[in-house]
Amino acid sequence: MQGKLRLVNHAFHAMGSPCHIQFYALSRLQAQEAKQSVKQCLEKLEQRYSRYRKDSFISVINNGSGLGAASKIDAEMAALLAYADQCFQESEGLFDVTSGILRKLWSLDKTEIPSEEQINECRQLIGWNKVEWTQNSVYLPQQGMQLDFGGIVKEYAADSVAQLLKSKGITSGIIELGGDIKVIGPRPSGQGWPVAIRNPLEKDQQSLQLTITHGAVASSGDYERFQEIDGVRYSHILNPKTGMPTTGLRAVSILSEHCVVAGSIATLAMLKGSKGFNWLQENELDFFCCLDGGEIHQQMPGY
Amino acid sequence: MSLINRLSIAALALPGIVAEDAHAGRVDETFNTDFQYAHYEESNNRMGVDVFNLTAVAPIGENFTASLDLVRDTMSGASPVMNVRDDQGQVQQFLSSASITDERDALTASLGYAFDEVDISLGGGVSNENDYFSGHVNAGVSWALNKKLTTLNLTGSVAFDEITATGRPEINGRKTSQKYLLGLTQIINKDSLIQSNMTFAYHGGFLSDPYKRVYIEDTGNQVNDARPGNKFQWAWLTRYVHHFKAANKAALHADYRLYVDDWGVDAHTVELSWYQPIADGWQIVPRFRYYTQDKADFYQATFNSSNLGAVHSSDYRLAGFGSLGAGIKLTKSFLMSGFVKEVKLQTAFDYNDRKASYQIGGDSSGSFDDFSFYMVTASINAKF
Repeated sequence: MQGKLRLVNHAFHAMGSPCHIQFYALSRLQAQEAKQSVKQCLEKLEQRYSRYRKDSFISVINNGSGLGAASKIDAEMAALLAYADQCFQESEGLFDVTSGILRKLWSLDKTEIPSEEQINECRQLIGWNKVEWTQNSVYLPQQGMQLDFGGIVKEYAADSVAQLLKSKGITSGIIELGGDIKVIGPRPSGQGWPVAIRNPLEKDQQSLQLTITHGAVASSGDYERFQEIDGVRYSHILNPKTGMPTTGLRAVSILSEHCVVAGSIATLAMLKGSKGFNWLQENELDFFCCLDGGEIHQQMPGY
Repeated sequence: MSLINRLSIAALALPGIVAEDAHAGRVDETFNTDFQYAHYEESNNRMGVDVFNLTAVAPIGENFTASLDLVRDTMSGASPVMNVRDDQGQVQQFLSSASITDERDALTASLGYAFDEVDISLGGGVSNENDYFSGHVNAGVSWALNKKLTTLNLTGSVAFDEITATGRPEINGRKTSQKYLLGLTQIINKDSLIQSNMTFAYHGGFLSDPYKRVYIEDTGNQVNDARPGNKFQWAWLTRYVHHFKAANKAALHADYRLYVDDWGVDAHTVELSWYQPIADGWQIVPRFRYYTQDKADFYQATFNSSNLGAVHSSDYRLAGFGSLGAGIKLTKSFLMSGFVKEVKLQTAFDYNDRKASYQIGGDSSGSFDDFSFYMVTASINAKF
């Protein structure tokens, strides 16, 4: 039944990021169908969860904030909210999907640090605890509150695409969506796929080369997205408790079975700031991290 | 549980991560047929049974699943009828002199319906042999809770049996049985789950064995087996399953079952199985089983007229004994891309040694009844 396998190499742009998938297909037809279904899957996720789209599911929920009526949700949204809740509980409130509103104070075009007053005003609108949600509905009780699944959805998309291709009979391949990676299965030879972790200090150099047969690698940090104000580099990961960009860690990468888990743990470690490195060790995670000072630590199996 | 396990469990509720969860309704969308042959053989030319079993499961529409199960058993050989005591005071077992042959045919059908989180099923069946007719109906509900990490099962069944002893039509009777099962399956993390099932059963009517007799030592007479007119049974099975990713996704199944009935029989079963995938669809499953039971209150190997009582039995199945069993199962799956999606071949061998001396807390007095048995099975399963 096994014909000649062909390697499909497909680079495209989705979810605001450059993406690259590679997989082995049995036929040209299977490859075409697979690419088509990946495209549809990602479009659907973007249509549902992009906060840049005014008509997305998440925008509809956000636009309903404070208006008195809960939005009806489906099983996937309910599961994402439950996952977000788990992250919130695990991080004692540091990982908060309502904290995206802070971005308007720290957007890349801003040239000065927001005032304490601005930050406090913004923080009034943050608080996962305030969100009223069930399996069937969600309501943001204050006008201006927002849900933002950054750190979850792109990673979840990588897992979903891998699962989708598996369901199409593809057993060997690797998905990369804007730096977040999920392996479908090893190469036909049984060997793993090479995954490079970039040096956070030197853009074009790699710090670590992994070979992965299964699982996922997700990263968080200011590789590209950061801003400089008066010569100080500010991370794009924002702490909901202080309203300030995180400090202490420059970048974190996590190896795990699911990309969504790796991604949320990486973000969580960044939010832990200077305690992040110890926290990664205590939780016996497979990680790579770079401290603010440039010091690199890693705990990857086999490295 | 580690941080990564806790988050992974939460992630498993996301529909994109586990494909099967993407839509409600049945998980299995394929037609499934299974044909199995088994041969059971007891030592000392006692009972032998050949079993032919055909099962078919078919999805109907989006939510219905129908299943049909046909069995033909052919029993032959001799079975113990009575015990007597010889001149030396030793118990001797009398087997049925003629080789008996009997056939049993059974048919069971059921229909299930899958909602988002609840599955319900209704079914019924009949079983017929020379001296026995049985009919039953059953209903069950299975409810997935807690993001499908917990499953609750509740089933109930009622059976009506009619017994007429072959060659002795004066021995006949009816029996009704009710059985209820309450089960809970909890996924602990991505590598392990625990299952706990409690079964309650009540039987009323003619519960004696029309082919068994008891021997009265002081008079030399024999009388029919006579058991109480009702029986309450309670069993509690706890199963733990753990997957070992590092051992090529092997799985350990560890079972403990406690059984108690109001005839005075208590039993304990421990069973361990190791599911070891090898490569290319091959899997080997060694298993080990230990069973111990103490005797029913009204069981004796032989009686005296002074202690005979209204209820009495010398049936070896109500004696105190233990048994040790070991077996091995080998399966090979062929995944296909055409009309037939998967073919699975399976063969197994099990050996059991039953001894009075294996009973925990027993006195080995029933050693005249020791025997062993083996069972070989071969089956072919096709999904399309």
